[in-house]
Amino acid sequence: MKCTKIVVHGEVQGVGFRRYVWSVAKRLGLKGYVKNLSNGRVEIVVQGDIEDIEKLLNKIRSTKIFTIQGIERTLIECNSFDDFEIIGY
Amino acid sequence: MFEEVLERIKYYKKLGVNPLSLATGCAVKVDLLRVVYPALGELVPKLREKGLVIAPREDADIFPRPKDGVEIHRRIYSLGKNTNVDPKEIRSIKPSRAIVLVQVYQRYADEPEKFAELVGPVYEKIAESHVPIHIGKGHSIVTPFKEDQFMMVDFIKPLSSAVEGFTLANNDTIHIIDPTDDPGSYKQVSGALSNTLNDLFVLGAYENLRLALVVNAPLEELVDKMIKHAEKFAKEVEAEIVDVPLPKKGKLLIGATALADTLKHPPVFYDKVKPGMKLIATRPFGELAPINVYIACIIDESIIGDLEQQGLTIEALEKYKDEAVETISRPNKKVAKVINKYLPEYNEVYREDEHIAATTDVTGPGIYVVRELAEQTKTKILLHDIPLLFPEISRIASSLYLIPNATAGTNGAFVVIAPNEIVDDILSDLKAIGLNPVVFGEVIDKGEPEVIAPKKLKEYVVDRKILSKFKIVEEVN
Repeated sequence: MKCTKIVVHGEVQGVGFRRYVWSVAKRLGLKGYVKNLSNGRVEIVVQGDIEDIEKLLNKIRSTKIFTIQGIERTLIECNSFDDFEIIGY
Repeated sequence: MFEEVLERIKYYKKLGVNPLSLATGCAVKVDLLRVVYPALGELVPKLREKGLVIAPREDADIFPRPKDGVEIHRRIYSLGKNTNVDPKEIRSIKPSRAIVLVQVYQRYADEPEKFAELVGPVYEKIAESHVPIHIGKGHSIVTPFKEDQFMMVDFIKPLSSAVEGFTLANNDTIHIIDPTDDPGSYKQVSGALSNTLNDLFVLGAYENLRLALVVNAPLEELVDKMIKHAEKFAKEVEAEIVDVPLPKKGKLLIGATALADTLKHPPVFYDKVKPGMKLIATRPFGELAPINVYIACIIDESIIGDLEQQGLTIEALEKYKDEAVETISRPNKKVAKVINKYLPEYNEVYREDEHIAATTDVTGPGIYVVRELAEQTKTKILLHDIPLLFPEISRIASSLYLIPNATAGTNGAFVVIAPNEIVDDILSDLKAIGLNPVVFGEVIDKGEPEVIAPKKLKEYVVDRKILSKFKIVEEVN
């Protein structure tokens, strides 16, 4: 199964960013997870309609509250998810 | 439309706090089950051999009250191998207990190994004092600033060996209560200190209140302002402020180590809980829902439109948010007095027709605290209702996935398990102090823990992990 992996750089840890991603992803009906990486970035792995994934990316890009410095996006192999979750503390 | 709030958020960021992370529920505590316990796992038995006991998690440390009272000796230690703990100095203090606050850098707060590398050496060095010390309450929080890490230990020294009644101790800290309000407002301080006292109040302890403050801010004038508010608050709740050094590390932080005495036995009679007993909420809960929804609108203004479609205007939401903040800024001392009234004397036995058996406060996990009570008391509980302060906002918050658990509270309501014989008396005592208590469930069996909840719980909680801990039924009989 294919998933989209999104890595977000910027001021994204300890600022409520993962909760924001969770909220948008759930509203769009996407599955997958969001988690902090040890290098200060945030990783999002997401499954769903490509249009909805684009909407998620647009929401992330357009936010004025979080300081986003860069977004990397790749297609990866993944297992099937049945929900969208925040991983970690 | 949120220009003023956005300006305030910028100001908070200068103080080292992103208020959105707090209001949206991003954890500022180190995960106990996933990080703290595994980190301390191997260390705890080794420390015990040297006399340093780290107790399992409790909301408050409860110990026999020395007749002549106790002294608090605060020490601020650096973390890691080069910690500045002086075992000889600890021997000179002769403490018997301690309350601990640890602040760690967020990137070390997610892995037990890294957490252990930081806190392990501090505990080991304290244990080198060979003074028998019982750490009854620990509180671990996260900072986004590496240089702000510390461990604060409040050593408690008994002033006599003769004991009478109980002393209860707790430490809690908060960054802010209302991110849309000034960080130096009275409400922020009263909310934070009320929250610290809540773990004592829920156990019916309210006498001889003492607050050893933890107040930090990068600006001296803000620290002074917060201390003045703390003094005003202390006067209001008749607490004494203990003279201790402030950590002076870290950015914005408000809280305290709080102590209270009681001549009653705290309601920890978990094995006495039996079928027929009722669950009382001292007031409806879920006060974090409007605060979170309001913050979600600041983050993403398009949500305002979604709310309006469901009949909720931003003006009405702001009013509910202010009401919620007001509620959580009030100390629950009067409720503590009501609970205290229905407890046995410290040297008396529990009587199942006269005394409250167990209590808990409704905090971040919201309704999930009932599940924790079922586990603690090994009972099956039937919930007739989910009493919420703002049920419609909680429903909307869940339908738009703005908060995973819209039953969450802070400095919240108390859940009381009491025998049927005293339920009406407790309700009328709570009403007499202006609360709106409600009987919302009952204990129906002993044994395997289970909580049966009405299906409307799904309207207020979207976190599947939490929902999976309840047996949800179409109709509650």
